[in-house]
Amino acid sequence: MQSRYWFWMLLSALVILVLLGWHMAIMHLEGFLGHMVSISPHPLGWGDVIARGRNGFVAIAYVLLLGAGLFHGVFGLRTILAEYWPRKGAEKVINTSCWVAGIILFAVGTYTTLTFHFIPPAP
Amino acid sequence: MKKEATRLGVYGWLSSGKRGIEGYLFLLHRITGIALLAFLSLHVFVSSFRLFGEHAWAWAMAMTHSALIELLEYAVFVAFVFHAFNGVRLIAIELGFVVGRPAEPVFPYKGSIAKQRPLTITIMALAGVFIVLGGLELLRLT
Amino acid sequence: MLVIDFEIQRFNRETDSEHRWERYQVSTHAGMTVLEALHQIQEQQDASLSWRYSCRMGICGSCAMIINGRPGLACNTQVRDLNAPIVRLQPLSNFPVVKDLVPDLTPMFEKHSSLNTYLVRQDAPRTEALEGELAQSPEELMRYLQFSHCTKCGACMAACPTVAIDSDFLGPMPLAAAHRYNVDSRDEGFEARKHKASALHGAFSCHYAAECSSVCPKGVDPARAIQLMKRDLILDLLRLRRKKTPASFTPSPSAAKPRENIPQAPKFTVKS
Repeated sequence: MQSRYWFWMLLSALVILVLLGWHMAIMHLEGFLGHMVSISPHPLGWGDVIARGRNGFVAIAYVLLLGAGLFHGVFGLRTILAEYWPRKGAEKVINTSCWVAGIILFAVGTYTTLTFHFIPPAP
Repeated sequence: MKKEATRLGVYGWLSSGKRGIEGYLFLLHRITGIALLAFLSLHVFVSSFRLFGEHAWAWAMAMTHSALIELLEYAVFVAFVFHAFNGVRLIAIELGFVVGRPAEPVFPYKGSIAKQRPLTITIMALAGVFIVLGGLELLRLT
Repeated sequence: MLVIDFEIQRFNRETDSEHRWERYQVSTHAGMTVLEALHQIQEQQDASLSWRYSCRMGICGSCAMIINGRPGLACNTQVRDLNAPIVRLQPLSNFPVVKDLVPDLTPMFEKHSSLNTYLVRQDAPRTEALEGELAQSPEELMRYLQFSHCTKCGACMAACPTVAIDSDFLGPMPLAAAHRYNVDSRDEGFEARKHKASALHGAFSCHYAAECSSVCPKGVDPARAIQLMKRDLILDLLRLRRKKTPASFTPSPSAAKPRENIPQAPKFTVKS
């Protein structure tokens, strides 16, 4: 069974590598990249946030990134916790808490992304 | 289940033997993973402020843009770069690509650790390049 | 003659609630091993000191212990090679202690046998009846020979950071032993082993810290074995694992005709 989960960790890792790599590049490397491609120098300005939010591809990418990132991170945390508390009873508690935390975070993030995409608030 | 008196627990992550570099990379991979997950949780929360309009967003940005927080964001960037590059290295290793073929051991033993060292050093060097680039960005030198 | 301090962890599970350290001074000579130092302490200073040893030449794995923070064999660690004025000896980590430097290795052996670490064949009755020899080429032998050198000393289990926190983790020695049989061309037991090997606390709890391979006194490289086993398990998950026919029996030599003109063996001179 763990081989299946490990494989999903691998797939989600590749998704994150591409999408988060792009996200980090536009957020943290915009000065450097600005020499090579046209890229906004203020990615966190309200105008930029609106522009990215309206873009359908970006919205989908954010939802994918959130899903993959949360699966990868929460499953990784679950692995660490399951190794530290190998008892049978602890396993159930760890699995349930991880599911709950993951679903809540995914719901909040997806709601934010999709609501913002379809209905950006009036400035 | 009672722990044996000699079970090292989390202390075993630091000192179960005089470590080679791979042991430290394993530890760092865990630490950066937990840090990134913690950051992601905070990030989902802070990013949701945009739903409440430009003023709420501006307030959130003002709250999260002191020098200390920019440094912490750079730390997140470093954690991601390390975790990503080490992750790629782990994918190669755990799929059995760079561990080498089984061979008769001749002392001094040079097994999978020696076989994967060149890849490890290359990948860590690449990670270092990106970390430096990000650092230059942080200091507004690009 | 160099006098070196030995600090040894003492504990008796029948009488003590926690361990204590005792210091001894040992006159060492060039080439002296930690095992020889232990003998000297026991003979001349403290007859109650306990540790395991047998072959004293690095082939049995009995004398594994923590020497200056690193798991190793006492018989092939020279005192002067440690380059330290104090040598600290402790029993192997992550195991219950019986007495002084003697660990209780039962958990490791139980995990080992839980993985069906023996040749599993469909035609078991024929193999057990020793009907003949199973054919194996030198190339097929090389696929597992390195991993068969394991002496079950337990040093890898003491060094592994996952064994340190997870008492259910199978550990480098059992997993490497399972892989040794998985790739043996005479074996058909992959299906029998794969569920336990790929379950929680199995091979996928190994994260390549490679401390096991770093400390192994026989160069078994269990980390290599475990990564190769993970590759096999993933290929099996994706249904891409090549299934080989297991080794078959070689024809019996008695079916062959002897060459002519071979002289007879001389008669026995001693009555058996």
